[in-house]
Amino acid sequence: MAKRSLGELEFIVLAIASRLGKDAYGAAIRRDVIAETRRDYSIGAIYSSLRRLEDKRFLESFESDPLPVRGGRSRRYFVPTAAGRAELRRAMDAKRRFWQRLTLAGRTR
Amino acid sequence: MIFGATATIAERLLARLLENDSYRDSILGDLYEGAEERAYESELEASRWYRQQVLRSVAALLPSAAVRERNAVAGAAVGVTLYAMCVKVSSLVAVAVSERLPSPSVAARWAAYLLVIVAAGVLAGFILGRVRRLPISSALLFFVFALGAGAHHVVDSQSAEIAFRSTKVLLFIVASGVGMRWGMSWFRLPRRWPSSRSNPP
Repeated sequence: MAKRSLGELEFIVLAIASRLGKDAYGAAIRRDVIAETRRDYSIGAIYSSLRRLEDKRFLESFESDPLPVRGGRSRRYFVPTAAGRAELRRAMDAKRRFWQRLTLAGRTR
Repeated sequence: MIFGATATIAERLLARLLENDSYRDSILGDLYEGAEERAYESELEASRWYRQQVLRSVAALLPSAAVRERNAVAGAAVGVTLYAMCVKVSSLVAVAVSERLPSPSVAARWAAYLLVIVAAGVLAGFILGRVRRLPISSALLFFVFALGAGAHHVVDSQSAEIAFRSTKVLLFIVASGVGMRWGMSWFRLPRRWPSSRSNPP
């Protein structure tokens, strides 16, 4: 199995998939990732991250029925697993602690 | 809806790349959906966006398709790119360089050769660390490798002995690898994080 820690983009994608809930599919996740990071990620880059997250068992996915708006193609929805939510909390706590330490270090100067 | 001939070719390439991929329909559907949204405002813009996204997605998905899915098309594309980088383009560079240089001593030639290979590796390492952020760097990486391999051909053209060729190829691999490792560690930039621009969470 792949390494189970989160990369930068993986963390953002997992957080956004978690926030979007039942509407978390590729295009919607990409839209929010671009809005949050102000960087233009390609659809392929987002799916690469989604695939890695699924390999790490942090996400699971299912396909919808084919939709006319998508040229008769289906959507794949992504749902964070319990392990994914736990990893997301752990990563967020780590970042929060990091920022707190930085803030404290700034104040003591 | 038709997004233009180039888009169709690119889409076929992507569809072929994702032939056995469980995400195939979702990726192609997302591309279609995005282009449809843009087509309400401008069909030209939709076509441009579609073409760009397909090509960028091919670049993003190609390595994983080659390794993970053992996709023949992806493998062939990676192979052809490497071949072009290391042999074809570099031989053009070599011809151009050797025509302009006077014939130096063997030691000087080897020293210059090693220096170029290591420098190319360092630059490649630097660029590799940034490729995801700057797409133009991919092209630069190609150029750097071509330059390194060009120097390789300059030395190669002086002798056709098998032992010499094998040593040189080994040296090329080790020197560029070492250079790349240095490049990646020396020039590693701090990772940007969106929240660093605003208040901490």
